[in-house]
Amino acid sequence: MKGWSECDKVDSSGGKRQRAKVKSGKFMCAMGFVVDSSDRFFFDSSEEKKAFTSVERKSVINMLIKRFKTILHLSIFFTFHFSLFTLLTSCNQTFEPFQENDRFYFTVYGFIDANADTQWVRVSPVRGELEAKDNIPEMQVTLTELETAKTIIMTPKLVQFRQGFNAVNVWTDEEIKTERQYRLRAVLPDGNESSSVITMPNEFPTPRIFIQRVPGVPTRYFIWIDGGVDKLADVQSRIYVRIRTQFWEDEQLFVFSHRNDADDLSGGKYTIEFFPNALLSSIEKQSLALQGPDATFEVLRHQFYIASGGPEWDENI
Amino acid sequence: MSLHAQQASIQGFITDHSNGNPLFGANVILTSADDETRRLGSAVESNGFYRIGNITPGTWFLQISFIGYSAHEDTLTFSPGESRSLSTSLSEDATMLDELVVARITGATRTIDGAQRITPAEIRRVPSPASGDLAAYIQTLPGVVTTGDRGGQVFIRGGSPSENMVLIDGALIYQPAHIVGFFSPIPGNLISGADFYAGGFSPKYTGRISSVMDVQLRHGNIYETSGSVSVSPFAGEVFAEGPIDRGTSSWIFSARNSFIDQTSKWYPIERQPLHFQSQFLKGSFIQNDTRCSGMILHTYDSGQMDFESEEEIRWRNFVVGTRCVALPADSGTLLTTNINLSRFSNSLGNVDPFGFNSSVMRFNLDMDIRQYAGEVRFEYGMYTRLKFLNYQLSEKFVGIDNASTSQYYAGGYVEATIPAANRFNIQPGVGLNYSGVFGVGIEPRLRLSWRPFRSENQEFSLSSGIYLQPVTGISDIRDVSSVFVAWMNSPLSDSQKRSIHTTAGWQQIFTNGLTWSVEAYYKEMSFLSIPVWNTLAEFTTDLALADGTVYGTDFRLELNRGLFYGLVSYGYNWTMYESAQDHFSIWFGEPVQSFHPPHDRRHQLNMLMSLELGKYTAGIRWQIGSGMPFTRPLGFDDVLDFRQRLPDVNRDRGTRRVIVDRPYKGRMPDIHRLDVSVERSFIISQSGSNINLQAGAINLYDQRNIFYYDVFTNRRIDQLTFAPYVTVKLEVK
Repeated sequence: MKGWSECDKVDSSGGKRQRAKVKSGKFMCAMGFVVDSSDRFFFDSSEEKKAFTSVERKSVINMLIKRFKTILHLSIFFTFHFSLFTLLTSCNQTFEPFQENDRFYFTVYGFIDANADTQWVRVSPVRGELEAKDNIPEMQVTLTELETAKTIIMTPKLVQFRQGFNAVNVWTDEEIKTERQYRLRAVLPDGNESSSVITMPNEFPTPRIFIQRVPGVPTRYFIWIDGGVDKLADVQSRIYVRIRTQFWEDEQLFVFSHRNDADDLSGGKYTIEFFPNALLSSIEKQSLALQGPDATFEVLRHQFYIASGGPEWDENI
Repeated sequence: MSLHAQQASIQGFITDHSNGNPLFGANVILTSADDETRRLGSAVESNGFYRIGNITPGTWFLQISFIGYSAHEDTLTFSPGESRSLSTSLSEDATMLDELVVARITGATRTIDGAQRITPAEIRRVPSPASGDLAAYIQTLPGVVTTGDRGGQVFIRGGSPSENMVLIDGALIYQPAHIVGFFSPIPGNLISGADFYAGGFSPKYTGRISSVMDVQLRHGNIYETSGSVSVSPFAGEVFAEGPIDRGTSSWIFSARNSFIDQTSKWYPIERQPLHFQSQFLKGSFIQNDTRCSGMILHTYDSGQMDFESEEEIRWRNFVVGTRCVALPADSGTLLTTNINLSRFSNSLGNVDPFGFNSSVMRFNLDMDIRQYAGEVRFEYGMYTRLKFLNYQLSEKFVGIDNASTSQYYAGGYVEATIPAANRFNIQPGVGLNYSGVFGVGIEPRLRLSWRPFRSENQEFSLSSGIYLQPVTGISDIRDVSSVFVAWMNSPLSDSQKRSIHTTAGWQQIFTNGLTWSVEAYYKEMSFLSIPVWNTLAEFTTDLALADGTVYGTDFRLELNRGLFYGLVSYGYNWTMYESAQDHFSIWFGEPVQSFHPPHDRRHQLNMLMSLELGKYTAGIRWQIGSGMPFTRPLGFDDVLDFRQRLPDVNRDRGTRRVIVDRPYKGRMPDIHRLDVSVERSFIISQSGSNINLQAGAINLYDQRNIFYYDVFTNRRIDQLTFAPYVTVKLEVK
């Protein structure tokens, strides 16, 4: 009775939420058979056999229709997947990440220094690969004084850093005048170019620097810039150091910037407080890290370098 | 006296007699002794609870049934206003036929009260080496986007992973996935059921703005001890359960450990430097109307998203919690209390001197109460949370100090379910929260369902509400593979992250096993913190605020005919962020840019089929997703930094930079993949012990699917290639 008694149970329960399952149960009862795990039909009593006989033909037809539908569904599903499989295995989209560049041709870094003997500027054509090549690209870089239209062709030089990193700097030893405008222009062989106009600032007085120690701990000093610097571009401590190890000795330059520590007193005046021991400690750490624990160093000289920017200098950089 | 006061009600828990676990989906039917056509019914919820109200005093026949189990029948007499508790367990009927059992476990997925109810049987259908894992299953749902087969990042309807809430027995788990994307810390054999809300969820869930996955874990078997061991090239798993005090208390244990890092050396796939492990232990105490449990979960993952990079991501979850569900005798009140602690930490690279780490620890105490007034159901509760957030982000997000902060958070909610005219369910609710950082937040929500034909087989649903999130998980969205998350209070705004959801859906169930549903959604998100658009080939960036708009449609078609199950799901999604940043002005002349974030997969189609073929079970899953956005490079150069000092072009090398187009204007190629598996069990002892063999393959036709494009190194990183596997599982009873 197990098959039918289950149907009876399901039949009598009802209830909305069970409806889908109940209908499934009713369907099996009406069909007069259930399928066990071995895929055999079985009957539970002679009465039920009679009931089955009365609906046998219809039931078998319904069963066949049901099986046919199942097979049809499966066939459609498998055919669909097989078609997709065949289609997609031969389908691979190409991936070209680069967008055509018609906006940026060069990047230019550096500064023009009216007090320097030689002007150096980094000029890099925008490239399609990660690293710069170890040759000088085809380009021409000129520096034109706008007032006189005098144009200087700058000489390129390949700079090779450690680990195979390359860069191209251009240079000239032509005199640069204060309060003049210059145009730096870089041109590719196809005529595409980038340019930048530089306005040289006024000449400013040599800043006064107090090397006087301020009382207290830690040791500290003041740099006093007493006017004429409209836009403070940089304040650097340049410390020349001789480093010695067991096997060799070398002279090296360590540069520390104090620009971001400067207090603007208005009127082109600034004060900068600096801590020499902190700089020496940093030099010692770098020396030890680079040259090993037996390295010693000796300070040869300490320079201060102060730069004033032109009108386009962004003080909030 | 009102009519409602005279009506009676009955409630209780229905469990499996053999192990004490809830019989989710069982039917409780009352038939009037006076009029047999008069019936009242209810279905058992995922925690085993049921309730029938509005019972006219008198005599009723009770029947509790579940296919595959012997029914429980009784005759009950209700007096006016009586609130009766009746909990019972059903025994599995050993004489039941296999096909009926199959019919029980292969029921189509239903959406109830906006939640998609997920059963273990559904989870097991998805072919994967994890052999029935929530992580693999969730990827088949429309509206759910995963970025690849490693990292475990899940984006739901345009939301980011840190905006999803995943609860296990009421405790939050911050990173609910393992680093190998089809494994989660919650194996399928631990899951009793799960409620998944892709949006429009109840005010009961507060603290996240995108989605909720509320997972109920199984209790261990209170009568018998059993266990299993499984091994595959991807991972190994040990599982065991048994009684502590037979009939009243139990334990359950599971542990997983990955092997793929080792096996991939001799396995025919690229070496996979990925490792994960997890351990889980739960103890349960089960009485008629009370069940309390305590659990502890630990997970650890490590590995490289880019196999050629040495940068390693590591994360760890630790969750410990207790939960008590009680139905005080004849009170008609269901009480749920959770006390838990969740800790998550993750790090990227080496912390000192360059590297990033972040951790968050959350202590949570909450209580949910459910009561009835007539047919109106009231749910309300309160919670208190204390969070500790630590982050050390030197170099990654400039402008954020390394810090440790704490956040106290408390609140409550109330929601009513009001049936009307036997066709409507109206669910107004509101959540109220207070935090020391953000003050008071109010989250009004409304959900509504309409059954035009008075049948649950056709239902229209609607929801809308405001969702707030007090903590922010910052990820580097420039890199879609970025798994590292820094948890912090909203760093740029005095406001919590906020979203407004609106959803509208239709579900129709046919009696021949066919079900289809469609749901449209619209979301507005605000106060999102995202890294600024930046061109440097290093992770140094500030954060910016963004607003987001998302809309889309999820479609689902299921055919469930006895031994055959088929699912087609399609999700259309459109996500747009809008952000104002200084960089945009410099490069494009406009400070505000709109862009599709890198998880904006516009189209996604999933097909899943499982079939019982005699003693074999076959599963096929095919998925296709349209390409995701990426930022196209224009070229590369080297940048010299003027921010600290004037550079010296002859001494300073510079930093490589990528010059890029407007953000996320490119689209990566579409991805598609076919996964298959065949499974068979061999019984090896009379006690039912068996060996289960599963053979399958990931990416059967070896499609070259992109994982992401690294614009900083101009490299394409691909997903898993063709990977066959065999899983052997020994189950001992």
